[in-house]
Amino acid sequence: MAISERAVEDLIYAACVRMNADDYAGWLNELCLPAFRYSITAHSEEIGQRMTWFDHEREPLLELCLSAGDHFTNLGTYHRHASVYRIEIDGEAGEAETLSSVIVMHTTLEGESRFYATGYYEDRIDISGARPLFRRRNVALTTTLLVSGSHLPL
Amino acid sequence: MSRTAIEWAKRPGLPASHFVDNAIFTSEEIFREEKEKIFDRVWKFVCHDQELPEPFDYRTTTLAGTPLIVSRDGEGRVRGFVNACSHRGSLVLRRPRGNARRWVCPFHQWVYDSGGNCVAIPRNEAYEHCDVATATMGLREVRTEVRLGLVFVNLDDECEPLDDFLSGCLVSLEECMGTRTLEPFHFHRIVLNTNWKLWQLTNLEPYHEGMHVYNVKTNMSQPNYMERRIRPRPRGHSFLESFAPDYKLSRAGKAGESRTRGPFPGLAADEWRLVNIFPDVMVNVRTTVARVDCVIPLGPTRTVVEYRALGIKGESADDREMRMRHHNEIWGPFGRNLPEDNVASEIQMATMRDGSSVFSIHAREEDERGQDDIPLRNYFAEWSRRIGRDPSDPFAGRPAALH
Repeated sequence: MAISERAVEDLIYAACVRMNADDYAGWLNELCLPAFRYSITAHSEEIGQRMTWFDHEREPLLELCLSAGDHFTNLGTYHRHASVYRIEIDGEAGEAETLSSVIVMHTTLEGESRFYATGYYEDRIDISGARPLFRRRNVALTTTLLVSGSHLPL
Repeated sequence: MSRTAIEWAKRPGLPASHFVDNAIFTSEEIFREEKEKIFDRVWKFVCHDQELPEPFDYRTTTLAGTPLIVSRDGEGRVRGFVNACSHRGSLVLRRPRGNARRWVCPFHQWVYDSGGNCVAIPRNEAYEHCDVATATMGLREVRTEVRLGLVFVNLDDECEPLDDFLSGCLVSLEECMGTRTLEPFHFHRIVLNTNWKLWQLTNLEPYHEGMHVYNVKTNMSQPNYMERRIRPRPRGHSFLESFAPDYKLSRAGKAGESRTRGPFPGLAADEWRLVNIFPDVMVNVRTTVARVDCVIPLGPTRTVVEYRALGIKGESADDREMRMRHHNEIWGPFGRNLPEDNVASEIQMATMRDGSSVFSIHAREEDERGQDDIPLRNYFAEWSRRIGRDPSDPFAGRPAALH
């Protein structure tokens, strides 16, 4: 049975729910292909270049997520608010390409939420199997003046 | 034994050079003096010259509140100007970078060339009765020099020569940064709720490495770790002598990547060199990639830090990808180390802001080994020389009402 646009959209939102709950292992293990690759890019007006800030395949990314608690990091949680703007299904290739807007907020342990970044999820989603799975995600950030760094994917 | 409030606020029993009053990190009065006596007079790194590689390229930035244009003129010289129209003070250029032979002020269309000359004033006959003419209305130029691709400007027309100011502090970087043309491939900024000096102090002392899981594995595990030397230089500068981390130890249970391929000229595999330039610059070269930090102070407790990474101009895509990977592993906003330094500088300010912590201690003496506080003492000696205050007692002899 062909995978619907709705199922693809649901996958993107399910990923937000997993990551917002700090369940990075669940996101990577259950919603992504073993060959999944994740990157964060941004464009710098100052140097006139597209920059890659983070680029990992699933296994090392999982290792980083699981070791984030060992790092001296920004305490609190990240909340991703995504809106799916576009879904393009390529049935022959067994893949959907999607573009989603994302706004990321950071909430401290004291409960204060502040804006962290805005950008786009540029996803390639495998639809050749029984359920859709992430093959590739690039987070194309539009924010380049940040309030802090992060040890976690956005 | 814990201390009472009186004991807590008592000056430490240390030489004045070995501690500072934390009010120097929060005082509005001192912040204003720093702008006037340091940032308006010191040679200040503002960008890399390959951010403006072609004639008529320009970059805009700010130096502690002063908007600047850094441009490459038609003869290829890098020059700096205050980004303020001679007419009514509007910013002349608003974009971070561009290329233009003529700069047109958007407000009333006064026109300047890349040498800062005013070349056109609309309906200038209206000024015939006075001294307002293109010949007298050029932009304010600021002293500008380039060393190892680093562009420095000085707002003080009577400043000392740049090389006198640098006092040889870049010697250890001359081969690795001066042999081939470098160029930035990374730029980002973080706005921190902290004082600008606290960022630089973190860069000055390497013994906070125990905070970094990555550095504990790769640096502190090395048998010669405690023997590496940090050398003070005149004018508040300092440098860390060559050291080689073991990057293979960076990942738990798996081998990390040694930096054996494509080192900067003159560097051995895994070799690391680091120079701090007063008041706010760190140049940190880890074999294959250089990181350059500088600050834009916004106020006593708010600071923008700019981060650049440099690769070799014209290198292969594979080599550039390798440098990005090495950079992003620990630096950049999603690296393993840099976000930790960001947090550290903010949690200091969290106690200093309302005076909950009174003094910072810089009293480690270890014969200039890497855990010695000598670069901090050296830094504050220069700060004191320029500001005219003792950082351990910054309001001595001044009316209390002023602070």
